[in-house]
Amino acid sequence: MTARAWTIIGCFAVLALLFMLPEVLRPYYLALVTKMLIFALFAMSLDLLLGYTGLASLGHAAYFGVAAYTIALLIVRAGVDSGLAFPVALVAAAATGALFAPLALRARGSYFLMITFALAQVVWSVAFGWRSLTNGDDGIPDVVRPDFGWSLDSTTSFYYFVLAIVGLATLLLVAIVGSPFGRALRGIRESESRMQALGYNVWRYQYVAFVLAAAFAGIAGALYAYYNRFVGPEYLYVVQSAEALIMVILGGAGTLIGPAIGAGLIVFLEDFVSSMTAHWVLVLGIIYVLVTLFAPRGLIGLVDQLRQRRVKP
Amino acid sequence: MTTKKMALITIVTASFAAMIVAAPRPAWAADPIKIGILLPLSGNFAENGQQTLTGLKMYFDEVGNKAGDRPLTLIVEDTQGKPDVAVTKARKLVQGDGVAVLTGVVTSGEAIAVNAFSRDNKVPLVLSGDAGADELTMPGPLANPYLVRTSQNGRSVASAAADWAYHKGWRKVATVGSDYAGGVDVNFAFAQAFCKLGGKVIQAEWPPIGTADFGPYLTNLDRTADAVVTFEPGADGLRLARQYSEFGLKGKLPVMDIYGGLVFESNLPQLGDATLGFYSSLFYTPMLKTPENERFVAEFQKRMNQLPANEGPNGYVGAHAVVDAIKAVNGDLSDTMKFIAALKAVKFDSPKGEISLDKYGQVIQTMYIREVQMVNGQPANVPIASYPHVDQFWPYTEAEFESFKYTYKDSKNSLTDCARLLAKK
Repeated sequence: MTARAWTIIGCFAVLALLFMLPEVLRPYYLALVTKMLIFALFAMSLDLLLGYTGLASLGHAAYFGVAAYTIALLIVRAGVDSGLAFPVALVAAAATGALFAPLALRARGSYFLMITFALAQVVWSVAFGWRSLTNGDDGIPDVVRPDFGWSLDSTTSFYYFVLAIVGLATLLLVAIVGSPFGRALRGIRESESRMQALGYNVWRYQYVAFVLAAAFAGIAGALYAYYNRFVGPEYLYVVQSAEALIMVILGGAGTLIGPAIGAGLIVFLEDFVSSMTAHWVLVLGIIYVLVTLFAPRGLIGLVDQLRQRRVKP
Repeated sequence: MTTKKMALITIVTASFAAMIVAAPRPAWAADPIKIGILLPLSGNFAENGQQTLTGLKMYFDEVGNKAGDRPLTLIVEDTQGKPDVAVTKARKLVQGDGVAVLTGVVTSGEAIAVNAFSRDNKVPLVLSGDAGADELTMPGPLANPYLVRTSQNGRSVASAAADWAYHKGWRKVATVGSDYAGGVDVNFAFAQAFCKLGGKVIQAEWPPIGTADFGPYLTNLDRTADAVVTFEPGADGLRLARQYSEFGLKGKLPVMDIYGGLVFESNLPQLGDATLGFYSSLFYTPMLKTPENERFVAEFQKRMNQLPANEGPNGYVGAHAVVDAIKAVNGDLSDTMKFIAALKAVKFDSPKGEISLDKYGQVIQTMYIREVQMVNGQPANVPIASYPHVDQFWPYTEAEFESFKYTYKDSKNSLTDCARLLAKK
C-alpha cells in the first residue's frame, strides 16, 4: 500500500477515535481534549506563518484575543446572539491581521518578531486599561455558548461542536498548504529573492498568509471564549503568544500535524501534569531542551528521522 | 432443583438482601469530604499561593483533617495565576475528583472566572485567598448564591485608612496607586470615603505594575500635601519603600500605606529603618496580642520560617469557616443551600480577630491601623487603632452605597474631584 493510502487510513482512524471519545472519557477529560483541539488550531494557524512562510511572530495571541474579546463584548455588552457573534469575531481577527500586517511586514527576522510583539502588546494594553469596556484585568465573565436548536452547554455537545469547526478549519488549512499558493509560500520561506526573480509578488503572498493566519487564530480564540465562558487580558498576553510558538516548534514547524501534537502536549503538561507536580514547567523545559537537541525539526521530525534511519541500511 | 443449586441461590439472594439492608446506612459517615484548593503555586503569584496554602493546611491539621466525624481530603491544584487555567482546574476538581467545596483563589481575575463556574455548576466557593474585587459579594452581575468570602475585599481596608487619616488631621493627600483594576478600586474607595469626611485627594499618580523606578513619581509629588497614601502590592511596594527614604521624603511627608504593600512583613527586615513611622491599614498584623494570634504566629513561623502577612491568616480563617459549616450540617452536604447558609452563619475568634459573615457571604472583620516601630530591634507593624466589625459597605449603609452615581470603573481620572465622587444618582 502506498504511503498516501496509509495517511488516509490514519486520518480516518484518528477521526473515528475522536468521534468515540465522549463514550469513553469522563467529562473533565473530554473538556481537556476540547481545549487541546482549540489550541491545536491556534498552533496550526501560527504555523502557516512560521513553518510555511518563514515569519516568526511573537504576537499571534493578538488575533486569538481580539476574536475572544469580540465574542465576549458582543454577547455580554451588546446582547448579540451568541452564534451570530462567531462570524463577526472571525472578521475582527482577520481585520486586525490586515491592519497589522503592513506594519509588521516591513521587517524580517528578529525585527519582525519585535514588531509583532509590540503590536500585540498594544492590543493587550487596550484590553487591560479600557476598564469601562473590558473590565480590565478582571476580565468578562458570563459568555454564553451558541444555541443552534440544540444546546452546547453540555461537555459532549460542545466537544462535537469544536471537533466540527476545528475539523473544517484543518481541512481548509490542508487545502491552502497544498495549493499553488501554499507552495509559493514555501518558496518564499526558502528564498525570497529567488521568488521575486521568478515574478512572484512576495509581499502580497506574505500579506495574505498573515491575514489567513490571523483569521484561523481568530476561530480558535472565539472557540476558547465559548469554552471558558469568559475572557481576560491573559488571552492577548505575550505568554500566550510565546506558548503558541513553543507548541509549533516542539511539534515541528512546517507541518500541520506537528503543531497540533505540540499543542496537545503543552495543554496536557499545563493542565494535567501540573496536577501532579508544581514543577511541571521544569518538565516542559527538559522536554523542550531534549527536542531542540535531538529533534531540531520537532517531534514530528523525530518520527521522520527514525523512519529514514530504518530505511537506510 | 439440587440442593447445591438451592444453596447457591440462597447465598446470592442473601447477599443481595444484605446489600439492600446495608444501603440505608449513612454511606457518607465514613467517606471523606473532598475539598478542592485552587491556588497559584507557580508564576507571579506563587508566594501568595504558598502562604495561603500554609494557612489553610495549618487549620486542617489542627482539627486532624476532620470536621466532626467526617474525614477531610484536600486536593490542591496550581492555577498558575491564570483565570483560564483556574477554570480548567476547577472543572477537574468538581467533575473529575468530585470535590464538595472549592476554596483558595488569589487574583481577582481568577476569582471572577471561577465564580461564574461555581454559579453555573452550583458548587460552593469559599474565597480564602487575596481575591479582593468588591463586586463579587455585592448585588449585581457577579452575584452568586454559592459564594462566600472569608478573606478580604478592597474597599474596607481603604475606608479604614481614610477614616483614620482624616481624624489624624490630614485634609489634603496625594495618592500613589498601582495601575490595575484592584488598584483603582482601592484608591477610589479611599478617595470617596475621605471626601465624604471632608478631606480631598489633591493629586493621584498611577505607576504601572512592575514599575522599576518610582523616581519620577516621587519627584512629582505635590509637597503641599499633608501625607502620601499608597497602594503598591508585590515587588513594587518594596521598591517604592526603598526609594521613598532615598529621596529624602521619609519624615517629611507621612505615609499611609493601604494594605501594607510597602511594609509587608517580608519587606521589613530588608528595609531596616527606611519605613520607620509608616502607617498602614489592614485586617491583620502579626503583632496582635491575642491567644489565637500568638498561637498562629508561632506555628506559622515554624512552617514558613517568616512572619505571616495577610495570606496566611486568610487561608487559616477560610479553612476554619469550612470546617465549622460542615460540622453545622452534620457532615451532610447534599443540600448545598443549607451548607451555604451554615457558612454564612459561622462566627468565631481568629488570628485576625472576630469573624462573621453578612447575608451576601462577605466577611465582617476588624480593620487595624498599624505603625512601623522598632520591637526588640526589629521593625514591626504595631497596631495603634482598630475598627471592629467592619462590613463591606462601611462607612456607608448599603442603600447609601448604592445611591452613588459613579463607580470606580469610570473614576480613575477623577480621584481629585470630590463633587463627582460623591454625586448621587
